[in-house]
Amino acid sequence: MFFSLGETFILSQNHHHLLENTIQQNILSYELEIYNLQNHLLQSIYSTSLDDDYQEKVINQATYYLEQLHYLSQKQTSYALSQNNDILFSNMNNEYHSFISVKNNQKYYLQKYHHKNLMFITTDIHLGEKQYYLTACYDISYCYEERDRQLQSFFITSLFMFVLAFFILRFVAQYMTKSIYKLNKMSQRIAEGEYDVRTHIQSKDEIGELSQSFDKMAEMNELTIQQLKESVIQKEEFMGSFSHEIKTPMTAILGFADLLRTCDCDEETRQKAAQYIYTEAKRLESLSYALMELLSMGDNQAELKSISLQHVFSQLKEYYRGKTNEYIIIFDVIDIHVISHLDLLFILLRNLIDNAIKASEKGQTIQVKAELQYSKLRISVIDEGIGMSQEDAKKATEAFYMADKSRARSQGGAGLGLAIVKRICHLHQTQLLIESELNKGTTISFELEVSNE
Amino acid sequence: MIKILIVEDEKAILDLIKINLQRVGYQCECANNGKEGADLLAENDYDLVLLDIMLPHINGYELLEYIEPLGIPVIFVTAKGSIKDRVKGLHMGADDYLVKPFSIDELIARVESVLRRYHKGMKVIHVLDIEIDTQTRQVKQNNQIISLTNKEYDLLLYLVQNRNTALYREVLYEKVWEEEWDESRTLDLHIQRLRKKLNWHHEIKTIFKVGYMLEEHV
Repeated sequence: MFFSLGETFILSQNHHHLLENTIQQNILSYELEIYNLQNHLLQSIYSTSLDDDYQEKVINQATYYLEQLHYLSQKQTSYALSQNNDILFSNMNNEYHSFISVKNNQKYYLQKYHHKNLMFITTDIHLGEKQYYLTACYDISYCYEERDRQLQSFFITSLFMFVLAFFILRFVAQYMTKSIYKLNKMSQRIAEGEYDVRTHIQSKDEIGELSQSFDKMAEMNELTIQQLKESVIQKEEFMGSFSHEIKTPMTAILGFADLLRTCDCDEETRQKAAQYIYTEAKRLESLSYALMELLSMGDNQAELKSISLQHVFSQLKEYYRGKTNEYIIIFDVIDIHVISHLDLLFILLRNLIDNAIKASEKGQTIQVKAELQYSKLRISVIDEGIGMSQEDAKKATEAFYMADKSRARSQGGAGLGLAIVKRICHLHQTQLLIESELNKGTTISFELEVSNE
Repeated sequence: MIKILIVEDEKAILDLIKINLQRVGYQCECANNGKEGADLLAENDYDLVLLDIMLPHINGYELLEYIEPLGIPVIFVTAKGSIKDRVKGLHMGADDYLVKPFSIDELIARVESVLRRYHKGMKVIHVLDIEIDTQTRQVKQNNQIISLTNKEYDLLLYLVQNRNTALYREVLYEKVWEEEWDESRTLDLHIQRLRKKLNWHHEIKTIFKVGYMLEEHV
């Protein structure tokens, strides 16, 4: 805009100068012509006697001279000779006669007439005692035409520039807004729950930077939400299994109790019902204990310290004494301290030994081994029992997973043992290793950090 | 006699259902897993299948697909009680859905209602010299309508459904009146009214220290 304003100003200045120059030039040439004319006429006056047709002669001379000038200027300049507002001679367009006036003596003025720009100059000429007025009319249209032409070409270039600028700006704006539009669209999609969308804008400007940060944020969001979802699914699965595990004994207990209190059944049914109520209640009991253990180590990080492994082993021996005379449990004798927690390690090993007992036949041996491997101590519980298939071994640590449901039930298992073990192992930052072969037995082992004390 | 197949991997629930259904007069057969259930279905005809969903080997949904072309009504018996699971089960063609923990009365009522829908059940129950239309709640004796109050009808139906079993007074009251036993004479009064209206002075027996029993000599 400023550019075009400036241009317009310069153009009008140009025009002004040109006009001024033209006017000056016209005045100059006019003066020259007047001078010439006067000389000419004076000469002719002196060469002729002052008689009656002296005036006629002068006029003829002037006419001749002015016609010549008129043709010399290629009809661009025309003249009129007048005396007291009577036009004596004119090669002007008749229409211009109205502009000829004595009042304008020694003056020039500009007049626009029918698309033509004209300049009139009038001066008096003294010949003897007679006074004449000579009016010259210059066509200065070309000054205006020049200005119009310049303006026109200026407008065309301006228009062209405008169009060009418009397209360039539009392209740039579109490029900028496209990125912003995309960013906005992606935010909306993320807000609607599509966490996997990314902008993928690879420009080196601020928008590119913003998009990269945005993508990074989206990725973090997706990851966090994924983790949240997984933990929710895990919790849901756990709750599902848990409710199943709790509802089944509940139904049985309620149902059999209802049967007993409603009708006076025969001795056999009554015995059966009482037995079911007892075993199912037992199942609920072991489930609630296991659940308590699982909950108690849920979030509070147990403090691990140096403990004597032998101490835990003797506690376990005490625990199983008298309880399981049918199974032989052998503990390795090793005097070593490990980084662990007395109660947790006890629960961990008790669960593993319980599992081993459940998998074993009466009279079979269960070994609890402890071997040093580099700086770590590997503790293994080995049984000679029924073992598990590969598939079952993989799922064994899932809560409530039971390879053989009816067998597990009859032994009062809740399906939480290995889930507890896994959680304790996690606290120790160690992995539970399960090696099992059907009908050959199972070895479950884990590693503990050895203490130097 | 109506034959019901129970497919359930929990021994306790299996026995619970079996004992109670046999008590009210159904013939029951049991399968411990889906495979056993499919085998039994292939060999025998059943009027109804009670099906657990979480079964080893073949689960309940899979077995349902096998049962559907046979045109046998199915009731799901399961701990999966969420709306989603129920809708899924019913969509797949189960006739009813029983969620654990369920009460025995609820089980029996649902079994009856599904059987009634298939015109297999005891829409009209014939006992001794009376017939009970469970849909219109009408009792006829020798083709004569016996007019009973609502509670009298409920009591009669409960006695009939649990015939030949001695029922404890307190529980009988609780189940028919659906409120707690308050030592009142209401139950005894209704029993007397029933005996009089049906002329069942010997059929409805008083069991000493227990309660009442409807005796049907087959």
